[in-house]
Amino acid sequence: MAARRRGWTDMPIHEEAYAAWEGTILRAPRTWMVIARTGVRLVWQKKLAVLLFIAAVPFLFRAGQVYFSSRISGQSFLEDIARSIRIDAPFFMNFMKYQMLLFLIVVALCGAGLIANDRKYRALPLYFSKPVNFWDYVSGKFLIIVFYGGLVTIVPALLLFVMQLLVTREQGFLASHYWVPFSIVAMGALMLVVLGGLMLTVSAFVRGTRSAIIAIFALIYIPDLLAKILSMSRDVGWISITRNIEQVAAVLFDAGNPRSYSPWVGFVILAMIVAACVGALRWRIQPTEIVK
Amino acid sequence: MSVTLNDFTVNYGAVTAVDRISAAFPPGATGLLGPNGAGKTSLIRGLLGLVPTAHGSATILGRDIHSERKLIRQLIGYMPEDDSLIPGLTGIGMVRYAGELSGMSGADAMQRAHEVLFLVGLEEARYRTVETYSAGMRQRIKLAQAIVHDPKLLFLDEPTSGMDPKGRLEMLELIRMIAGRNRMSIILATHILIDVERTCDHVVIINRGRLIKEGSVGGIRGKYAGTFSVRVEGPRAAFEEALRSRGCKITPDGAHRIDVTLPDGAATELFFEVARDAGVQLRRLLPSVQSLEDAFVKLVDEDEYGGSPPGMDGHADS
Repeated sequence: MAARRRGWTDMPIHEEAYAAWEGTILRAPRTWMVIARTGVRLVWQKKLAVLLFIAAVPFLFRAGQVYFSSRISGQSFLEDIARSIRIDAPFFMNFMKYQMLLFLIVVALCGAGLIANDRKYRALPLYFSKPVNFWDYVSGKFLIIVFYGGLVTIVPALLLFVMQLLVTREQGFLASHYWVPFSIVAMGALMLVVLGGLMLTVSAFVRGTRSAIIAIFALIYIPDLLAKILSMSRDVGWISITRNIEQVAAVLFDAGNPRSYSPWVGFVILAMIVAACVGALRWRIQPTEIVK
Repeated sequence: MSVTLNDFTVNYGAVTAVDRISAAFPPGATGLLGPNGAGKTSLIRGLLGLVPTAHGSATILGRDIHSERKLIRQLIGYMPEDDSLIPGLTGIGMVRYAGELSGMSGADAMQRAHEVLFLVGLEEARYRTVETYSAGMRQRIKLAQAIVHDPKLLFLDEPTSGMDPKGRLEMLELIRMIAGRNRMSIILATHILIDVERTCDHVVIINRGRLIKEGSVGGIRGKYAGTFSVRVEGPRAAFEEALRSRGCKITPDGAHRIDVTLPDGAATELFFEVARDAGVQLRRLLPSVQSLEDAFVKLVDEDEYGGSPPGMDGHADS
């Protein structure tokens, strides 16, 4: 009464106590999706946008080539240059090939800490005490790499193809190149599975992000350098992961075999690398570390 | 029963961490007691499928731990002993994430995350990244992520480890508050007996991976109700012999003391009568077990040495 007289209003006083939750739990939660969504958001907060912008520069250059090759006419000097640019299947393959370094930088920056940091902060028991199994965890983490890796490979290559369809004057371009988008997706998937899988595996074996970045570049480019040196006497491109990807991609884009051995060799080696990555991840990702 | 174990065994290579334990954890708050290295953490990890079990079976909330693992993990909450965090996330982000992983919708998980962070006292720090949290705050955030989805059973592994005395009391108060709601059962693994005495009604004691006792806190203390710690000055052998002849059971407790269990119906006056007859002075006469800690020490000693450790004199005379 006294409170009312002073103009105060009645307010409920809540006791600080544990309150039960009356909501409903999803019986089969898609935990891999939760892991992927949260990971994509976290990586975005690391200001990766700047890097993605840099990764768009080659796309803009290639987009200029696509436009230039179809739309410049009447100026003999420029027309000669435009005519020299051939927009065909190898054009898209080369674009993706040259994006591989940027792709690797993006994958390294967003993927290096994905498992390494979870192990460093002993987060795995927290994950695996929830309804999360090995495949949920690994596929969730892998999808983060797919999202950002796809943004610098598959997405711009498909955009270039659509742009070519819009600006080309070539009759029957779509009829003769309808399979190229599938090849783009296949090559992108190959890069994502092999290099993304390798990145996740490296991340599972080292404790720090920096070590993971160094390790992935060493794993990719040291064999590449060795292949370059040794190829002076004989073709040993199969020891290089990037050369194997390029060889399989050449088959996908109907660009001939750039190596002196069968593309199946490259494909089998890549498949073996992926299988080894899965095995290593399976061995390494344990809910608890047992100190012997 | 919250948890039942049947010949439950966990091995780490050649080392047996949990050795054929058969026990039942009733609903409510149960303390899982044991000295360091007794196998408490391994038992919990085995139950949750975090380490493989070597032998035996177990159920959690009536469900088999092998065939219904995913469902069980939705129904339980787990606060690990290790300093576990999900890096890069803020406090609110980590608890929300834990809720979503348990099957809550994003909106529900966010709302509930605010509630539980308020409950555990992290409302001021909820927008800080968890890596910047102090040891006490890390314990609290681990508790918050474990209770965000309102589990039916909560596993707490050394929840007060690394906390200052004030934080420890607050954590115990929180656990007591949660246990008091009667909707959620709690299994509290610890070697700090006072924590169990303050929060639990039931105790399961393990040592070297084996079950040594289970029962209510009062029952375990009561096991030694008729046992007294006695010290005498004078001819001790005659005193002991006289006690034996009156039906008492005598166990040496260090070099100078004996534990005497009175026969049924006998009262403490017996000591004074026997002391007078044997010509000794009674210098100490105390109930052998006054707290759960005393009972625990006795049980572990009995398990390891079949009685008191020889030559040890663990209690201060009063």
